[in-house]
Amino acid sequence: MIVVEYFITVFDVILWGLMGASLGLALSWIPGLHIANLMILVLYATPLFTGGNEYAAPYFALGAVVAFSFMSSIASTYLSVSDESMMLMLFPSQRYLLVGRGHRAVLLYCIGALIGALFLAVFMTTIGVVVMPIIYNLFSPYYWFALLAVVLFMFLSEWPKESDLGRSGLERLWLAWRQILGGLLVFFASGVLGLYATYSGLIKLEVSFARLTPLFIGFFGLPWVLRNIISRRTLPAQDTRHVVETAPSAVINGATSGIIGGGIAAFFPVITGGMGALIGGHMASSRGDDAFLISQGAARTVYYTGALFFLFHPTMRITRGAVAWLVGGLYTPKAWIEFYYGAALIILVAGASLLGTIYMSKAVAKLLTRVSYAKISAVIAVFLVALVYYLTGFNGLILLAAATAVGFAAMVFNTRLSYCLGALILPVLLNITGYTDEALTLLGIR
Amino acid sequence: MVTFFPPLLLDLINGVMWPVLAGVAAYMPDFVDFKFRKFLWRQDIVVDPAPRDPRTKLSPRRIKINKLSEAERWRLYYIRGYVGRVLEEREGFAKFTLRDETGEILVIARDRDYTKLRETLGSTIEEAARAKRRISISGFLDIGEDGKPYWNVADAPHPQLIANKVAEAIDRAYELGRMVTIKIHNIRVAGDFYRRFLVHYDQDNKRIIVYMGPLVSTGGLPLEGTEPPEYRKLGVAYTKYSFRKVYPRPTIIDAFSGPEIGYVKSGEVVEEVFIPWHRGFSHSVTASLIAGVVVGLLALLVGYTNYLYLAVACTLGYLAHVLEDQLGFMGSNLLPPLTKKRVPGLMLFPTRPGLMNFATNWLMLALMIWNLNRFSPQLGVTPYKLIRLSTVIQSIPVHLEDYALLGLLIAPTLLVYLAGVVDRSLFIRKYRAPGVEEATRKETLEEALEEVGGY
Repeated sequence: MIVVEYFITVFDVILWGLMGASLGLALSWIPGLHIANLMILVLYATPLFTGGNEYAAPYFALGAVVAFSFMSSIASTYLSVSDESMMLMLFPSQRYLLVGRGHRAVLLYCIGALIGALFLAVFMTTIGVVVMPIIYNLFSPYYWFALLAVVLFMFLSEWPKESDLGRSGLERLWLAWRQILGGLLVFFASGVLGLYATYSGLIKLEVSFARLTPLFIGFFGLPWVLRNIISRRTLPAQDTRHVVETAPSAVINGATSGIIGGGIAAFFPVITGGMGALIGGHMASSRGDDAFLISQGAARTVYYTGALFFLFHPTMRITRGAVAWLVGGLYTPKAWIEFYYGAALIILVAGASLLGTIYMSKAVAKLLTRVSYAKISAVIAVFLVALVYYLTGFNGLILLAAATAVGFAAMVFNTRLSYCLGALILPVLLNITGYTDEALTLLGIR
Repeated sequence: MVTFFPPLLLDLINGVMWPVLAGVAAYMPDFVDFKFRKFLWRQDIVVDPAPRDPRTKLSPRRIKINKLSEAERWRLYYIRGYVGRVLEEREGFAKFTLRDETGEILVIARDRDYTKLRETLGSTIEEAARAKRRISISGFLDIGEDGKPYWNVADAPHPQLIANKVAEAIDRAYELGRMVTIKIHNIRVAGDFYRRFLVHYDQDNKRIIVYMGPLVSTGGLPLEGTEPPEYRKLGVAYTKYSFRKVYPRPTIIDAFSGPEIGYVKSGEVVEEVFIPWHRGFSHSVTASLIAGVVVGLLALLVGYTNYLYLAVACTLGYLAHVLEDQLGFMGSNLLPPLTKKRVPGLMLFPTRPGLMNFATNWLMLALMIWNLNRFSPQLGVTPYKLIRLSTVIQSIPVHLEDYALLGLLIAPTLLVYLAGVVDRSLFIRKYRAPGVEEATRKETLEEALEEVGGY
């Protein structure tokens, strides 16, 4: 009989988990700062994680990721406000903010995030133990097919927003297709940047783990922050009461679509939370602002946390998401108890993050109506640029500038920002279909 | 549908991408309608109750006083100028003149519109006049009892414009004997809010009634205190000819985009065809066959070995979409050119249409799991079937276990469909029972008015 020895203690789990949660709560409100970037900084810069207790890194990361799932709602609600004349459709969180209900948007998001965390912990340790390995084995040969299908679905289901304004049929058709073609352009431009970041050697080999950081900050963080500065928008006074009223149907519908979307994104490689949420929303026929915000909370939590939590499963051996790949280099689960401790930690940190996020939201809501929004945005912009420079050097800044331009293009064309994920998807699709060499030759990279 | 064909699954495993086309085919009916037909469809009458500013893409747009004419009556704009003479000002009412660089017009503000105007100005009209401040006033052109035009202060267009245009479209459809399509633009204002309005068809009295409602978010949430005052909530227009609306609920217009509504003469009445460019040929069995043939031929031309399987998978994928759409109310034109008109669908679960959608999605997922499970050993993905019910429930014979699994997987969908049938019969009993038609219509209208807000 083989006896697997393990030395994990509840103390380890709580200590490292809460430390990770503290980091996540402290920094995840910064727009464009993905938790994976933080983990790169922390896990590889701290000898404690690479040479000490082997349980430190996984539970620290799990705590940080759960906290990020909650706290990132601060950035998406308060720090990505837009001028509605610049966009043909605002996100519900932006709209709520503009009518003084930003805190309410965060509360709705947190409801979804909490349901998502509870569902994830309970499902994965009960039904999931039996079902997930079967699903994994059945679907794993077709992952790339799922990825391609999701990408095609994104383009096919794009909703033209400007076409109504055309006076003739052809003008309406052009206005509609301008947006769709703009989306394609953004996707391929992002894909080209992804190829450059991965294959060109622009980013030095020793920091290759951060090669996508300039791109993601450029796509999803900097354009919003710069737009905040340009539009010089002021915010109305925010209602910061901890009260939210919504229909039970919105909670059920939002949580269902979020869990489906987040589950798809967590399970299938390269598919992200936004793409998963799109499918989840279609499947559950999600309607309404409240349901949308709740679904966002559930989707992001199930996606980020679920993807990492797969790593703790001692028999499935699935590694999904950037954080899991980072931690996977330092940790391999040996016993089921590690998995169950992980589930318990998810619930514990979700509770703490809920409180942390609510109070942070209240503080930010008050701060933003007193301090210049443009000045706060300028400070964040400087921080993001400095972070990219610190991680990837001058060449990283070049990639950052290009990615910011692409992120702006997505806004100008009024297309989905998730097309920027072409940076991840296109290289993967080329790789799977065997066309990487041709593409690199065409781009002059090889 | 690809999962029904092991050769196509094998291609996917080997990185051959052709089978993805079956998935594309399944989405094609809506792609054709929403990306092409919608835009190219002929619009005979276009109603834009609140034209948008070309730069901000928000309503209202500025209009100069010399551009105001009968054609612009009841449309929401704003004028920018200086207060001239204040003829009358008291609580809840003001009458004054406003002049811009092109002319002068009489302005009337009443009820809540007066209060809102004062809030916007931060002063009385008298004070604004004395300060010689340049001000912007939103509203619409109307004609007074004395036959003279004036600017009515408002934050929404008058619904009479829309009622008149819908009535005109119905009469034109009868007289021309062909479909007449009206495009009604929606009203988008600052903050990404939309003005909700409702078109009610009172077929017994040959009346079109339009109700103007509050501002709502894209999710349909009304914004408190944005309902128009009573005097400009309602627009009523009479038609010369009888008309019929098949679906009992009124048409509600708010976020995303305004609808196109077709009217077509059918016998002695005019029938409403909601978004006439949708669910036509693209949503037919005929089109699904054509899609399969086209993709099959294309695949054959490029030398794809499994072109026949792919053609069948495409047809089935396309057909699955068409059939799924028959579960709702709108239906489609199923067998053109043999059939010419859209026939209503089964209208299952009319009170919870989203649930039908979810159940159908589950059905597709269930079929995928079932197929992948039974074909995996044959394809070399797994050495044996991963789900074997006969090992869990001994009484299931091995040769029937696949079918038992199928039954188990699709059972939730069948249950929802069954519930949908029950819900449908309850709905019909409520809305369509003979003798209660009038009461039903009233009830339906009341329900819709509640949705439009505040009635």
